[in-house]
Amino acid sequence: MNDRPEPMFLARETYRRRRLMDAARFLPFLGFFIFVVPTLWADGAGTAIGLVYLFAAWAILIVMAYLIARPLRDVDPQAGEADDPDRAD
Amino acid sequence: MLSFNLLLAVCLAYVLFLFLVAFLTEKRARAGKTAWLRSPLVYTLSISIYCTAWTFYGAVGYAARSGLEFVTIYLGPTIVMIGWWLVLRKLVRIGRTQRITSIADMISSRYGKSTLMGVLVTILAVVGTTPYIALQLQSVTLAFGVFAPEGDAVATGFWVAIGLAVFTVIFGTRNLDVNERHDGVVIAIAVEAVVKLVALCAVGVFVVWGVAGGIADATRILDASPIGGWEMQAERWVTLTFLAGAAFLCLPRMFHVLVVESSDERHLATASWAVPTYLLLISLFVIPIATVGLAVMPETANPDLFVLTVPLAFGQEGLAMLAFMGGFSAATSMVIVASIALSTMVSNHIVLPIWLSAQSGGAKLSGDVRNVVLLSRRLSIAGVLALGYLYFRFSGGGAALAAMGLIAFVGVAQVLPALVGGIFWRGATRVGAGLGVAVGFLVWLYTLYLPSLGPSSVLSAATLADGPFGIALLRPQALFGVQDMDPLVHAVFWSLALNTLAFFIGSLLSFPRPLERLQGATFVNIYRYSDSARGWGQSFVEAEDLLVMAQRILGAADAQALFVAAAAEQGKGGYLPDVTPEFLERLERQLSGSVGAATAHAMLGQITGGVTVSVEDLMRVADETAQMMEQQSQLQAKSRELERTARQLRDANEKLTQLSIQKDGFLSQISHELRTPMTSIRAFSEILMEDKELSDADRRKYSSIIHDESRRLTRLLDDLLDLSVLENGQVRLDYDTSMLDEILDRAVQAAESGAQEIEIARRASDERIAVHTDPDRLAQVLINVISNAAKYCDADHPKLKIEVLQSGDRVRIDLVDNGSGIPKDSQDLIFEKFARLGDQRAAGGTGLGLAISREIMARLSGSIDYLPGQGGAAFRIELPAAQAEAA
Repeated sequence: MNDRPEPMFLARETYRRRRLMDAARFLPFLGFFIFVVPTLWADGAGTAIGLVYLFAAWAILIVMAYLIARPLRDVDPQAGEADDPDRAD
Repeated sequence: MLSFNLLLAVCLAYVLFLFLVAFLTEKRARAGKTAWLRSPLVYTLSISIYCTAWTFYGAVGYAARSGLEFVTIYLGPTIVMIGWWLVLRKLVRIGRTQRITSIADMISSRYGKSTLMGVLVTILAVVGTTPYIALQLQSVTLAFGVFAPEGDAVATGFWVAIGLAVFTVIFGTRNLDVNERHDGVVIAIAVEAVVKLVALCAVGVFVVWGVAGGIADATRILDASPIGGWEMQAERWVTLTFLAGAAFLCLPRMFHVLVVESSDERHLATASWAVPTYLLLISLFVIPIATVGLAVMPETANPDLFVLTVPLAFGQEGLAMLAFMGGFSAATSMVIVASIALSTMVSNHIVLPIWLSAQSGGAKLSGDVRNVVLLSRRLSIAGVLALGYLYFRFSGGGAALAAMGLIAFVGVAQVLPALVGGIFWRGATRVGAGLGVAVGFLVWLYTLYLPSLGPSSVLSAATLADGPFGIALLRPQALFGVQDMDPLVHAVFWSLALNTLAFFIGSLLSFPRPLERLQGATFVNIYRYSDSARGWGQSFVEAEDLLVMAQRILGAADAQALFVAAAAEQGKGGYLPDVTPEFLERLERQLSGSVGAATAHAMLGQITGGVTVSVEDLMRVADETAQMMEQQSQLQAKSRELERTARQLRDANEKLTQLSIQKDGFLSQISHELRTPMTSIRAFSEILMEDKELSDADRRKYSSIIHDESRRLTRLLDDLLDLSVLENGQVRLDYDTSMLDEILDRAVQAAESGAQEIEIARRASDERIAVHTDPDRLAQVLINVISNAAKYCDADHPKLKIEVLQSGDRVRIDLVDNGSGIPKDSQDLIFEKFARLGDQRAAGGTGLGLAISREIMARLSGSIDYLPGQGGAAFRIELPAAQAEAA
């Protein structure tokens, strides 16, 4: 940590990237939620419907992961940039 | 029907093809052409070894029995992959910077390069992977059985195991540079990943469009089939999803391809969506194949083999062969990677530590370590496969494939708390991790693994039903009275709950060793400092000994290159760098890439005499630093003081020089002052002595001149004496409280007795002020100022105005005349000794009056200053008033 005071607000681009990282962190929880939801309604429902639901949800998650991962691929989280919770946002 | 021999020939051809691929790859890799070898696609495909023969055959069987539940096995890994930013990215970063060789190495390294943790995780991994390898053998054997029912299943399994062992030894330990990535293997795995995906999709397409007649018909068949309704068991659904995700991270082979073989961190970003896509595709046709299989095959048919038997039933021998190759690919790739990963762990964490401790002379005196490493790895591969075969041979054998896979999953998932806790929580300690893994392992053995071996193999049927010694609370499948739970969910729940609890409590209550804390900080904050923590103190080992050892592990060329590079960095030539802690650190990391962190640490420790850093060392270093800083600040203070003293000395010197000049000036002035009256006295007394004819008038005149001059001399001497007394502070002051107007009266009278007349204006009412002072001395000052005014005022009608003002405890006396005043540049000089403006000696002054006045006022705690801008010469005298006695 250096003594230089962190800026309170970030440039728009950096801000977007930070939010993208947040999305990347959130995605697995969303995935778990989506995959667990059938436990509430699936019992007795048709396998065909379940098949459609699961694979559609799966495909949507993959697309979201793709959209998030592409811009994040070249982010180098050196010096704790991505993991310091005390940073400005 | 395909003949057994044809099948065997195809298999061998396929194996030869893989061998060729691997061989060519490594040839290209050695030529430096690694760009396409290390692409995100290859990385993604290598991760697909998650999909083993269990997926290939077992998923269809699973779906035929339980419907959609099979998909949880792929949902968990999907969640882990799309959450790469959270966990996997960190694992890969740690693995790359710390040169982690296996999951056991990871755990051991995190918890202070602990050999014990390495052994524990290795045992867990071996026990957990054995059923899995058995599973692959079983699936291949069953697949062979489909084509050649006359074959002996046990013998087939044996030969497959032998074949895979040879195959893996050739592939996995072909490299003598054991810390290099296995490029050939990875490419072979990627090829096999494509084969199994294509094969399964081909069967799926055939089943949906070739057998069922399109999607609509397939849906109709599905709705009519026994698995048409979704029997959701919520607890199993959630548990299996979680378990699959955990296993995805913890399975030794998965860790190997995800972390150890990772060549570029950015590939993870691609894999984060590409691997889920692969998983989606490979599970897409599972339900259709299962439903169609259930619909068209006889009831006795094994659903695990629908992928093979359905095409065969429709006479599609080519497709069946492709499916067989897919299953074979899935089985072989899993076994190859799993046994490479396991053999690395076994040789690094079990064989090498034992071998090291057996070498009493220390590592540097021993033989070639590399041969030991490679031999132990080859033996480990054989051993792992032998274990798998034995498990296959003596376990239930006919048990459903999926069940065996899940048992293995629960076993390896016991590493999860220590792994995830280790990279996110600095407080996780070796004791906690060891306790957690051990407890989880034992609970898993007791509640799941041993019961799975059959009712009477290890645990008796009575123990299973009533608990050991009839203690119902300890029944393996209803621990602590938790009944009616699915056995798998029960085992997952208890093993991971107790594991996490032990891990947490153990970590809270224990105190980590220094190395452990360093490693913990490094792992948790891996993005902040990617360098590893310093683990070595200053040592006095010879670089040559280190080189000898390093050559035996890394190979002569690599070790020498490393040493030369290190020496060059230190600015030295030759092969032997200075043995600095940095160098030891670097060497250790290189070695740990070959033999694991714990072993590398131990080997270096043997040679360097165990100069690892200790708390005492750290504290001593901290102390020394603090002392040095203290000394430095003291030095700075001293130098500042010296500067100050030097400055003071310079000032004093200047003052002395000035004083000396002043003294010289004073002496010449005083001789001059004394000489003038003396000259006239001598001249006139000579006249009086020699001239007899002087008239009485002249005689009187000359005598009076002599008299005047001698009086002037006396006055001069008196003043000098007075000044010297005042300046030396030897003057005695007679303090008294008296009225200022009385003193002024006295002074004015005395001054008026002098020659010149001056009109003095006073306001008597202002002057009734009591002052506490020496009245005679104050009067002296006043007389001096008044008579000066009388003498030097150049106005036609000289006037002196005396104003007295009391403000607070100070009394101010302003004496202002109506002359032309004193020029500005002379105002500073008038208080100096012998300062006279112009030649006014006739006035009879000694030139010491104001100097004496200033000294007197200073002694009386007052002051006398020239007051400019008043129209004439003006002096302001200030002195303290008497305490609260204003009139």
